[in-house]
Amino acid sequence: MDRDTPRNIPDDELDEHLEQAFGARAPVPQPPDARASLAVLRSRLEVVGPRVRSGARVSWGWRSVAGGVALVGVVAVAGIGGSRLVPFTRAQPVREFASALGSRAAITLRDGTRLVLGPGTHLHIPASFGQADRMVELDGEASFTVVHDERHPFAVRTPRALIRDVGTVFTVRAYRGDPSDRVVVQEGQVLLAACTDRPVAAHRPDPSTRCPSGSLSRGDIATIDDTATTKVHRSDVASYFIWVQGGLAFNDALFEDVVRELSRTFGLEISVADSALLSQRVTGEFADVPPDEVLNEVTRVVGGRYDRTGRRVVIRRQTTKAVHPDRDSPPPLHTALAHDPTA
Amino acid sequence: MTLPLRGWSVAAESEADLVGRVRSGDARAFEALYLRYHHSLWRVAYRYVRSTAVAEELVHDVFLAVWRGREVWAIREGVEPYLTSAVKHAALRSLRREAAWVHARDAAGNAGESLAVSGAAPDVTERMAGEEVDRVLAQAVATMPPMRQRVATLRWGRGLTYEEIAIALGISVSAAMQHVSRARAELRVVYDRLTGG
Repeated sequence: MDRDTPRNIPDDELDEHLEQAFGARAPVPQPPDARASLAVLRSRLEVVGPRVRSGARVSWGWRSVAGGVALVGVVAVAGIGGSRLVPFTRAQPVREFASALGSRAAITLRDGTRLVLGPGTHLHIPASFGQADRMVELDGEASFTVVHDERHPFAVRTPRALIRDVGTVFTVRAYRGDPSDRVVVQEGQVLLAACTDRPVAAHRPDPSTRCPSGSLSRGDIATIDDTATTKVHRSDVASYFIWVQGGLAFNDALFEDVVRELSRTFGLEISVADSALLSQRVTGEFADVPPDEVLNEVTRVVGGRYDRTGRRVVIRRQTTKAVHPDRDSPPPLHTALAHDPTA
Repeated sequence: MTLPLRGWSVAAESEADLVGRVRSGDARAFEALYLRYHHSLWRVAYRYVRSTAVAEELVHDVFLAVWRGREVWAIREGVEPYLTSAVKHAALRSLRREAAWVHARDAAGNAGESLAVSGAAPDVTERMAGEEVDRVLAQAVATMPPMRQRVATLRWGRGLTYEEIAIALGISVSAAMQHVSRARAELRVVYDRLTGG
């Protein structure tokens, strides 16, 4: 026994205290209902059990008119801007999915995983998909409903991050031009790594790289910027999935970001003539509403008006005195569009 | 087969019988096994991974493996010890996969970046709120080297044995014991100071 380090408490008592403090003795919650759980297992058996499905090739495809990028197994989603996809006849081994600006696309991969691509999105599926893992590369926004397969983990790679599912529904927004990526989890859990250097073969982050990582669960919203700084907060995430159904949601969003999103969503070229408008903030939700209606609402709320010629839109400050009497004071912010009946 | 007499003794239905039926592809026997052991297996898995979703996944994975390999399914002891051990191993494999991510986080964390993603020690940092002693102990863990932190989390956050820690982190048992004993020594100093020792 070392006299210089007096042992006031024996090992086992200290261990007991530490287990209490650190959670090992925390009560285990109630397991999920066994029958409900069995139903989930059954669905997994159906998907994974008959191996034929994973080997089967989709024998038809679609070509995107706008982008000219060939697609496999794509079902066009009716919605904003309408479908821009038309079928073509020859099957070919295609590994690139794309949606044009102003449209979305739903995809079912051969492993059963369902995706909805947001506007102006490219999804690349490397040749190795389904071998060691199921890695896809995303430029744009997509929501994923992943059929989990522990032996072939599903992962999404963006320029800034690597996201791995643990049986879940989540969206990733990673447009190249945007200042940050965003990952939102609706169900289950995902593992996120903010990798800044990404060797092509890196399915998991290399311990030697500067790559913050951890797990996100239901309701978590993570943003990753170019310095790999990762911020996580928890919130009601429903509004982050509204685009999948053709809706739009802005929560105290900068008008600059709103304009960028409207451009993508409707496939418009929107310019803002008065840069003072860009720093205004907008809150509101739209269900599947036509572009002009959305533009009208959004520009009105920031005290602007818009002129549209075909796909070009210019937004200017509203100069009518009745609307904006004092030129130096900005119009009211944080207006809830959805609750304003005076549209 | 379904004599009324057996109705009351469903729980007592011979395990060997059930296993034999599963082996011959009887989905109902398979599901009966699932319903019988789901809760206890889920609890086993949960103790390791501390996540309801992941625990459920692990139990599913074990049963999927059983079903896919049913024709050659062979067990020596009872069904429950077999399944429990399978779930434990699946949980340890899961922890091991996670370890790679956590190392990466630590590497970045040491580089002084601002990180909000919870990783290695959610148990430690979240569960200790409230008591001052616990809070300070958690801080002490947070300043340990990455591997010691990880080991401390598995030992006192999840109650793993040395052998399990070794498997989960891909290190030797003696290395696991060393990490635990160093972490314990550090925490003892903190604990003694706080409790006026």
